[in-house]
Amino acid sequence: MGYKEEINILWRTLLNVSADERVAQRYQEAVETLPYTLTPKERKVWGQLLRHAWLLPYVDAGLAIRNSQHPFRKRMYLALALLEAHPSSADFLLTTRRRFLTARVALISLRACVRTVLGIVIVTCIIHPVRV
Amino acid sequence: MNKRHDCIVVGSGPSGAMAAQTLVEHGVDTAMLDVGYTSDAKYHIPDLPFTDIRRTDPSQHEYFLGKDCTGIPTGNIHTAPQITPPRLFTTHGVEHWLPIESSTFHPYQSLAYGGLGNAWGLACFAYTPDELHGIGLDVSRTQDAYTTIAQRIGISGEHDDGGPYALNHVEYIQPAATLEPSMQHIYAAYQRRRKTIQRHGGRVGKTPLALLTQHLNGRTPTPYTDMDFWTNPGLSAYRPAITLNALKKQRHFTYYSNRLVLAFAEKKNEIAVTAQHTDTDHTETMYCTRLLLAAGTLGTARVIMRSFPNAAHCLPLLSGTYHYLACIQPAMFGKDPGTRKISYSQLTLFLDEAGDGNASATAMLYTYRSLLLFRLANQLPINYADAIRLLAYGSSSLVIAGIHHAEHPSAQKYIRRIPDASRATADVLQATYTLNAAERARHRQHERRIASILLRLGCIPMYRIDPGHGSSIHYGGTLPFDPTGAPYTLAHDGRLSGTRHIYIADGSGFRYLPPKGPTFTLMANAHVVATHVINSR
Ligand SMILES: Cc1cc2nc3c(=O)[nH]c(=O)nc-3n(C[C@H](O)[C@H](O)[C@H](O)COP(=O)(O)OP(=O)(O)OC[C@H]3O[C@@H](n4cnc5c(N)ncnc54)[C@H](O)[C@@H]3O)c2cc1C
Repeated sequence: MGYKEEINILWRTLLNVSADERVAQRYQEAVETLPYTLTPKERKVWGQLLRHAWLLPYVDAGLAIRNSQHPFRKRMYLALALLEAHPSSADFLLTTRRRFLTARVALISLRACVRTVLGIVIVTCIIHPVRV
Repeated sequence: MNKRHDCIVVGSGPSGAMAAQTLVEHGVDTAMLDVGYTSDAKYHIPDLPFTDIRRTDPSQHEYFLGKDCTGIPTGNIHTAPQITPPRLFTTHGVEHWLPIESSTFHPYQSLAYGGLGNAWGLACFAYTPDELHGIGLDVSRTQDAYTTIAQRIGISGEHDDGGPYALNHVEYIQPAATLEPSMQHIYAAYQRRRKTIQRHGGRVGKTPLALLTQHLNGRTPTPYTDMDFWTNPGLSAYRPAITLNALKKQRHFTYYSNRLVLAFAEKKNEIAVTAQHTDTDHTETMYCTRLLLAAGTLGTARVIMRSFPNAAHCLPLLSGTYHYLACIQPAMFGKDPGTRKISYSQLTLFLDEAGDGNASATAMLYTYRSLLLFRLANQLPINYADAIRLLAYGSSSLVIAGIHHAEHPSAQKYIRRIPDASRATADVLQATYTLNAAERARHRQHERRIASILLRLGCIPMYRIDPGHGSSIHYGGTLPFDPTGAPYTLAHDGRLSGTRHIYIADGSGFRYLPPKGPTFTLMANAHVVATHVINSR
């Protein structure tokens, strides 16, 4: 899977926004310059995760607790930083007045908790054995 | 040919810049020796509000993240997120030229043109007479000097309830910057509950800032674009480079960059100053009749310990203790934080437990927007997709209190110079910095009281962050003022004991650190020391 597809999947997972060619270029350069490289085994798992993108938030949540410096999480963090420094995220991130804000916060918090619990299980069963 | 000057100033930070300006204004032939790194990357940042930039500029990643994304912080919360990619040059070269080994103390140092002043948060506190006395400074001279500095750099503020703790009798103060909605709420809550809060030792005032709200010497007032951590439109924020650039046009002033001063030797009629060229590695000696060291507390300590290698093994050290308290302000939940705002601290809470007009701790209040939310998302123990949503929903109600504690010397706070041939300067500084149980308990108690006052101001404390010693970026106390003239101390005029014409114009002499930013006082003291130098000729 190429960097273009990878960043697209990450951006869609993070904020449901798609990335263009220039962002993909930026992402590739950053991955290659910063210490975000993956071992061959990790690359395999990462490829599978990107193919089953619905799993990403769970793995991300599990790693946030178990190993926040894991290269998968670093890649998601990089994607998030690139996303926030792009006009396409501005409207969402700068809007503070919303309908049903309290309900939204409650639902997202609940979702985050569920993702954390399931994520810890997934990370313990799949991701950690790969690193060993 | 050997270079000779009447006076040599070492360092171009706020202290060095002010000392040099005073000397040059009095016609003294002055040279400044400095490493003087500047930014080599050029950023094109539009003169637009942060919100417009975010919505429209396709190149924003270049300055928000750095051209090669190296401005993306990793690991735990960075203590100085204000050192953004356009300002990364502030700490350039430090690991190489100013190495420090410590497991307990992690300072910020600078070799930049303008020193740490390139990134400082502009909070200007005039210390009270008790605080000045405790530091070892001459009260009336320093108070006069505050007004001189205020005229030079431009300070905005208000003589409100925080005035006695922050402005005292300083004149030439421009009106305070307009508060953004979140801070207006806090200020209004304080006015409503003033009596109760004061009974609990709290006073709230607008933070005095070296930020213009009116025109001054060709500089323009703040445009309220909330881009203060990235750019300085109209030079509304005071940075030492403003002074240095003006000085460079003066006949009596010579600026030498790429000079890392190693040591000095005072001879009968002159002082020899040895500097290493940071670009070519060769060493050079320059001569002067008066030497003013303003290389920052740690920088000056290195020069002193190298100049007296057999005598000074160990020097005391002071570094203000600093904590963050992240709070939620329910009144701002779902509210518009406004477009017109500044990024600096707008309000300060002073905790005056004894009710004697001196603060035992202060909390500087900030809102959070232009430093971008992804940094905070990295601190939350949940997945990024949900973290960024929660932060976006709640960002307008986020208030961060930066808590400063007063700092006193102790046997567990010191530095020593260790020879090490593998280092660029053949030595390394080792630092030890630990608080004793009584100090830790006192800090905890102050924080509890601040947290309870914040609650009354409508801010719910959620999370305490301890970024470790060195994170306050307030240092001093290595060569304390001491009227007895003991070795490695300073006389009241800033002269190093045992020398005739070596003066120290930075925070090295401060015998204790009040719980407030020292830079305004550093600048005032540098002016006073330079005045003594002029009078001593
Ligand atoms: C992010 C941030 C926020 C801050 N906010 C505030 C605030 O709101 N209020 C406040 O009061 N303070 C604040 N500070 C602290 C403030 O920046 C420092 O107190 C101030 O810069 C110290 O000034 P100085 O001139 O003594 O030293 P520095 O600014 O450290 O300057 C030292 C200078 O000496 C030069 N130098 C060092 N060693 C040598 C050598 N051997 N040879 C030649 N040159 C040398 C360097 O190039 C540099 O120019 C902040 C600092 C930071 C980084």
